[in-house]
Amino acid sequence: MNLLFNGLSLSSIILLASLGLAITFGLMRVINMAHGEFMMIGAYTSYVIQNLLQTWLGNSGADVGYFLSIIIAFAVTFLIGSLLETLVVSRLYGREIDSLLATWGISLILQQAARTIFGTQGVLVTTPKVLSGSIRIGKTSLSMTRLFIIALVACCLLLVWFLMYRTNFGRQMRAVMQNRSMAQCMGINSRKIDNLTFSIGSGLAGIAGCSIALLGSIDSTVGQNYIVNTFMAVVLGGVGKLLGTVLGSSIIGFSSIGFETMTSSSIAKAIVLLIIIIFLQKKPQGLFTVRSRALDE
Amino acid sequence: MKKRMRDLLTAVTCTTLALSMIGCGSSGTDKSADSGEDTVTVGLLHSLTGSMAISEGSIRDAEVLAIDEINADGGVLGKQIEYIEEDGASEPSTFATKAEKLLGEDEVATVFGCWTSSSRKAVKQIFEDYNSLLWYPVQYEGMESSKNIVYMGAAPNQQIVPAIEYLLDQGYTRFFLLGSDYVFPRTANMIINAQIDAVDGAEVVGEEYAAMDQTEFSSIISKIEAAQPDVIINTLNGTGNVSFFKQLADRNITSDDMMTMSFSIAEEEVQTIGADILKGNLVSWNYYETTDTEKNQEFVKAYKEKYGEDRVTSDLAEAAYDAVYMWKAACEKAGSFDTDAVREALDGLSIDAPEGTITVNGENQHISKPVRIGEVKEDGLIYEVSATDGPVEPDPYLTTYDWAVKAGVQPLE
Amino acid sequence: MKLLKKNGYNLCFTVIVIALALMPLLLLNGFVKSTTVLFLGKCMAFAIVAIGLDLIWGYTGILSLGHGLYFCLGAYGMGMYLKMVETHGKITDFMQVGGLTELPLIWKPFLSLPGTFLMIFLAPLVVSGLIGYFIFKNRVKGVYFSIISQALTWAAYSIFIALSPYTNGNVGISQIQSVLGSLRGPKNEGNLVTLFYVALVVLILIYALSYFLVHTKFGKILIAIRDGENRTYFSGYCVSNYKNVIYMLSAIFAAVAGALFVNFNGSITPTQMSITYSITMVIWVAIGGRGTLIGAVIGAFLINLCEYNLSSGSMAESWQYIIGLLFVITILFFKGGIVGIVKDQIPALLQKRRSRAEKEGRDHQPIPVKAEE
Repeated sequence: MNLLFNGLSLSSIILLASLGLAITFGLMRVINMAHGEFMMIGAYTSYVIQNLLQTWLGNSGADVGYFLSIIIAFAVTFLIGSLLETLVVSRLYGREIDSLLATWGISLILQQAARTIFGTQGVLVTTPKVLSGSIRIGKTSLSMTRLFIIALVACCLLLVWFLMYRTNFGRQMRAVMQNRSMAQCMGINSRKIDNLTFSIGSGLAGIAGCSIALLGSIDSTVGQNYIVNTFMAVVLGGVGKLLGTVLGSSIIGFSSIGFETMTSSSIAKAIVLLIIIIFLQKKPQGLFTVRSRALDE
Repeated sequence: MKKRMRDLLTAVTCTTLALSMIGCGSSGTDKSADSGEDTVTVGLLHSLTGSMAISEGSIRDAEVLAIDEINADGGVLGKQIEYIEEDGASEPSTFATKAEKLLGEDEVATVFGCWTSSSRKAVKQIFEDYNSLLWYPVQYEGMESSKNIVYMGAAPNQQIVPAIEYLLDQGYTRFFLLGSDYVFPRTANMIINAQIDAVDGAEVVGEEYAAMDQTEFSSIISKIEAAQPDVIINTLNGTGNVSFFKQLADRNITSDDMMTMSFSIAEEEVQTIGADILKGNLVSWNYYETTDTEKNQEFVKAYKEKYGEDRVTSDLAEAAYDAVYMWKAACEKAGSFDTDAVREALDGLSIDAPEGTITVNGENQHISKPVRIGEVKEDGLIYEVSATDGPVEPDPYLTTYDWAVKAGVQPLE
Repeated sequence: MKLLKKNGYNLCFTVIVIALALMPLLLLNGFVKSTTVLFLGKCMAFAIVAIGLDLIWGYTGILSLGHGLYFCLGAYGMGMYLKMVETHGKITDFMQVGGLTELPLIWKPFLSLPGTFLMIFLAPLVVSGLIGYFIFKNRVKGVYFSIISQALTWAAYSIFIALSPYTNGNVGISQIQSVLGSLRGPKNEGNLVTLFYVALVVLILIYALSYFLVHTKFGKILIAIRDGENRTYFSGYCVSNYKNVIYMLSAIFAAVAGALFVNFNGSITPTQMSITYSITMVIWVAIGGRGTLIGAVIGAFLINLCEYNLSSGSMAESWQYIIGLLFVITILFFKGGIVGIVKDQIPALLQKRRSRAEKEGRDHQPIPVKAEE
């Protein structure tokens, strides 16, 4: 029971972190190595907002501040993402490897910027009163923050799904991703769609940043820890499929927790990665594949 | 013709580039630190970037504070101290490269620096080859003594061993050892295991290591809950502490349910983790911001004045601060900056430090210092709950402890 | 003139080699500090990895974000031998902390120098061979390969840290001398110079081998794979075998570089295996100029020398910005790196200016600069 809950909560964190990637990488084929840094920006945003409101409104401000910051973090990273797309990423469509390297350069710059602005010392977001403590069911205690993160993931997932499959924008987006020139012929402004898609992906990273701020301290390298797991979740699930990403992150989350109870955490990390890599040899396209007859998929 | 021009241009430019590059490499020679008439150059070697910058910033600040104070006071042997700062970038091999640069190229008189044991071990050979002195300000795992390193922090018998003794005195019997996967926790736990094995009725109920960058502690906490210890010996490093204690608090586990004794949590970490989570837990150090000495009041005041009221001092910052003063005292006793002369002067040298009077043990170049067990209080500061009667002599190899000799924790050679 | 045209790159490499070869002479005459020579030694090791990376990335189009692994395999191999020299074949302090009482089997080959050399070749060969065989056979390519190589390196990094009784975890192998003994201090300058020339010879050999390779039919096929993998398949070449061979070769280069590096550096830690460090190696190649061997060499030297001289004190922070920006700009605008700028961009600019001047002489129509994609 305890194991299940731990697995579920780790999966939800990985999923939240990789949702944004699933969009930028899965749909746009842009490898955003600065994704972790967008999470860092989100985390720092909630720190700043919380502190601002705390000075204005006192302690209750801090609690309100955290929830407010989730929306603001989305907005901030959305804007930065949009800027980045215009300046850098838009020049690299079709050059996947180059987009990977260029965004790595961006992540170096963003990390240093965080050090310059916030100093090297880690900072902390106070957990709102509502979310502190845990509920006890039988022998297991379910911590409130974890439950909140799981709920947050569910909301984001629902929103993304709605956006992608139930709105006009989503249809346009999928059209552009599937066949750009055809979509352009149909009168879709593909530049605008690209920009929006990338920005939404970045915005989701900002929300993920707010949630990891609840789990530990925030410093300039906080995003780096998630890079490998999130990329693997997207690749494992199958690039371009939302459901695949959900399944991919659950597999990584549950198996990490599972192996960790048996061995130590370093070994567990290695075992999980190796198993995934071996699995990818069997199915290089991931769990779910978008069927296509193109040679270069 | 045009194509030929182009190739010519390529070759010429590449050649110039190559030459200038190599010139760039050797240009360092011209600026070799001329120790001049009225200044002496020292090196500061810490991580300013990368993951360790989080921790090393404050000790670097304490060193700069001490240097500034000494300069305002007339310097060392009538010379003003100048410092060259190098960035180790949290990477041991960069530490090695930069140590070479400081010693070989800049020819500094001495170097204050390093934090992690891996960076210290990476530069140790270099300091021995150049016969220079490294002032290492961090408590560490012991089992080492080099005549080219002055260990300003606690040896295991000045931090770990007294802390375990204190816990045993208080009646704790079930110990859980939790640490980062790293040389300090592994060696510390080897020592603690030996120490607890020698006591009837006490036992180690579990031992776990977390990866250095781990932020997910739920399964480790489950393991701890299953083992039901009454005290957790925590040797986690840096950011891991924050995640661990936050997630412990999320499970409604406080110091009343399970006491923790931490060896890497000082005032700064308390500030980051939050006093409301940590209050009631125990730590073991040689110095706290609240330590009641006259020298300490001056130190805390000067530190806050220079770096801001919200900054706190810690054992590590204090040791780094002392290192500069100890070097000054040694140079003045020796009457020169020469490494051999300074080393000779070090034997038995004492200074009045914020933590009390500290004395260099000439044999192993560690410091004899008082040990204090402290408790974190709500205001975010640490208050002493128990202290040794006087300074404890350093014993990095634990040769004076019967249980340690019996368990064979000493290196073979 | 004709010679220059044909051998511009080689000439440039020769100049670098001559300049490097002169360094020890300058050292003996006191013009250069021994630390500079030592550092240039490390740079040569970096240049060798860069050549290896360039072979697979610049020539074959496979971007590996995990070459730190092979670098470390070589470096650990050499480091283990040197550690055994220090302890005279007895077990080390970290093995004792880890609870081992006798030398583990994996350390046995490193008791002798020939065994060590064998392992330095074999270990990366086997690891890269296995990885390459499966990954390339299953036609994993492009960014997928990059992501998998990155995950593999991360897994290896975790394993090295977790197996600390055998590898000494984060601390790695330290407190070792070079093969020839100590390199530092005035009385050991002879050792340093000898080792420096050994590294130089290795660098020349590897450059020559790579140069020869890329100019054979094999090299042409590599370029064909980069430019059109499917077409190469259809032309009847077994692409995965070619990829595998070049991947193994570049892994061995990285291992050789690691072995040289540890001699100069005196320690090796798993940090060199981390993703960040592996990508740093890619940065050298990208900025120097991918797809030309000389570009990799120039990049490795230039970036490391700049970092050595610029990342101290208050410059440390700015250096992070500089390297980040430089990298982004190179990727965005100068695909060919420094060599590309010199070879293509500058002449193109001159040509444009000349033709614009000619055009403006004729009429005053501005010419469109940017072409539509």
